[in-house]
Amino acid sequence: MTSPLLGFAARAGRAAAVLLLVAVTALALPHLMPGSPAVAALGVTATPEQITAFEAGLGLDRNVLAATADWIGAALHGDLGHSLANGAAVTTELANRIPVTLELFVAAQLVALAIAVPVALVSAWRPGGAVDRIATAGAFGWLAVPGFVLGLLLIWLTAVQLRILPATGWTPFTEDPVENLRHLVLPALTLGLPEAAVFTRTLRGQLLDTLDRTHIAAARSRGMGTVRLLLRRALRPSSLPLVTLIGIGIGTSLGGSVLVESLFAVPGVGTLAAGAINGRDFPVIQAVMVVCAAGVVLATLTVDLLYRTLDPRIAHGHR
Amino acid sequence: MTTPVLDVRSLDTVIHAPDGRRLHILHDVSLHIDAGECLGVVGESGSGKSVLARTVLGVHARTTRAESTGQVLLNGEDLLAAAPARRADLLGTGIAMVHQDPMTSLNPVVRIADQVTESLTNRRRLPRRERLRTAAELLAAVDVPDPVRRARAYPHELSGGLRQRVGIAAALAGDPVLLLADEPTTALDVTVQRTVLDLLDRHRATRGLATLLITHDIGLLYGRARRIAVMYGGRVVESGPTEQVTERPAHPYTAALLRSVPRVTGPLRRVLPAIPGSPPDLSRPLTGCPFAPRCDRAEAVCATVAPPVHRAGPAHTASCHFPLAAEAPRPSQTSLERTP
Ligand SMILES: Nc1ncnc2c1ncn2[C@@H]1O[C@H](COP(=O)(O)OP(=O)(O)OP(=O)(O)O)[C@@H](O)[C@H]1O
Ligand code: SF4
Ligand SMILES: [Mg+2]
Repeated sequence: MTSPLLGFAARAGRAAAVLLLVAVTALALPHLMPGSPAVAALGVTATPEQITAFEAGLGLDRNVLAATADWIGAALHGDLGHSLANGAAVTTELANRIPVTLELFVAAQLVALAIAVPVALVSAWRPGGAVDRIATAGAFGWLAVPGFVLGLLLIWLTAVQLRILPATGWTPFTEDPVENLRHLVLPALTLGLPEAAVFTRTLRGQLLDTLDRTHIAAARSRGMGTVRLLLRRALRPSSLPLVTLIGIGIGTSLGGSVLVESLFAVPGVGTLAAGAINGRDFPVIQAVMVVCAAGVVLATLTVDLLYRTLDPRIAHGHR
Repeated sequence: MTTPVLDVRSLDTVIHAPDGRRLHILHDVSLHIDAGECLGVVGESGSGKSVLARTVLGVHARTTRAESTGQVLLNGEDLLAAAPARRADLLGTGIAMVHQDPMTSLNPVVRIADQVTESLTNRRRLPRRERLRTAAELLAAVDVPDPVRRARAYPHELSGGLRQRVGIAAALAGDPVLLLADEPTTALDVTVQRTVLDLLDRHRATRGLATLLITHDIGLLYGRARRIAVMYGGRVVESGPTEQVTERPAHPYTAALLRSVPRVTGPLRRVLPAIPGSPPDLSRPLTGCPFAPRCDRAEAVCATVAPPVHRAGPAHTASCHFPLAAEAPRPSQTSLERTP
């Protein structure tokens, strides 16, 4: 059993190391990619002077480690460079887009949880019952459908057929909350529904395990009703794998966001990354990489903390 | 004559297992417990002791369905005929259960106070302060040291012995009239066993609790149970006052159980009695005596005709064609230590 402070220091150290590694890799990218980023950015008619100046701006004329050190120094002062595509400050770009992606991510998790928790509870309480059988078949069905097919289906149904929701585009929450939510529904469903299937399977499995424990029988022997038993006694000890899944989701969600954001023309980090990669906009790619890594690191730390609050045995170092 | 707290009459229980099998577990089980009395139920693994306790309580495994016929009378009220709401009402407050393994019978993520007071909080809301106070009182009543602090603790912070005290406190919280203790000390080491059994004894006496004490270990019942019911193959094969059953067993199975009683002084303290052969397969119907394949007194009739009830004393009965006579050589009594 290590002291909590030491454990925290170790985790913080690991987190810093991960971020540093990602930063170095990000800064090394222009060196590693074939072709000249300057030519890609300035066009084939660029003069040698222009190219030299451009490469100096990207730090390509220097050693990667030195460039990384400079980049980190500037980043700590809130300067992530400027986009090669439009000259805008990368920080401004990110500040506009991170909230959009975060909102989408949170909404998708809420959709997934709102479906998964009740379905898993009912399925696990009566395994093999009607709800369980339908949910199992449904989950495997959903999982077999690729995310973009689901998105297209949703667009076709709600936007084209029923005309109740906008198919694409975005309105910031601060501008018009109602419009914002209307634009949020389809991408959040497209991201959240397949996750609901995974969440349901995971939580159901864990609940089945928990419900067979003697302590559940003991609580029943003291007259605890089914609803209370499920919500107050079974759900919490069964929720750790779900927390892990959501934590991992923060890392992998960027991949999903690129697809879904592109499909619904949502101006989030995903579309920003996709555009930057296409245009070889290195300052933007680098910043997105490091920001995503920071997001994953932060998520991991949060999962860790959540574990501790959910299971006191972990907090006390018994597991 | 006063009404017993628990009066089980000709109870038959069939369990429909999740895999579709139909298991006739309990056969014509009759027993009764008066207020303040302890009845010991002893038998090998699989003899139906836990199914009996669960049937009396009315809570079976979540995924199994059980059907019972006969009568389970609690203070004269037939529970098998009672409405589900009435049965639910009695859980924890009329009938309480102490479970076998204190390591698994407490929820690891719920504070002791919240588990100990469940029989109360399942009925009405108790503010947090009230919960902690009540829990501390209950813990103090089962000799948990530092009860105020322990009430706030989580199960993993307590030793096995303390956890079983917590289990007993939780059972007593609803002030039940009947306590079902299903092997409450099997998972504990010998020295802790004694203190936990003493604790149960004390509460039985002071509260006038009718107690059903289930065990593998007949030696554990000396001086604790007034009467014993010996179960085999889902039947009560012998029952009577503890001294008579243990000193003058009439049923060959009881005699075999007594011969295999573990010695506290021996090098290996066996809890499972070693009788050659295995108990009957409950998924198949059975004619004759369930013990016949393993019995050294068995004759042809034993396999075909159900044994009659033999009266070995005023309140001492055994179901056997060829019961041991009272003056027959007794089991090696000198080796019987009062355990634990
Ligand atoms: N829920 C159930 N589903 C299927 N079979 C069951 C179930 N509960 C009990 N049984 C069977 O009923 C028989 C009696 O079980 P029970 O648990 O009552 O025995 P026991 O005397 O308590 O044994 P032990 O000393 O091992 O606790 C066993 O054969 C067991 O397999
Ligand atoms: S009835 Fe027969 S087989 Fe059964 S215990 Fe008696 S003697 Fe043994
Ligand atoms: Mg048992």
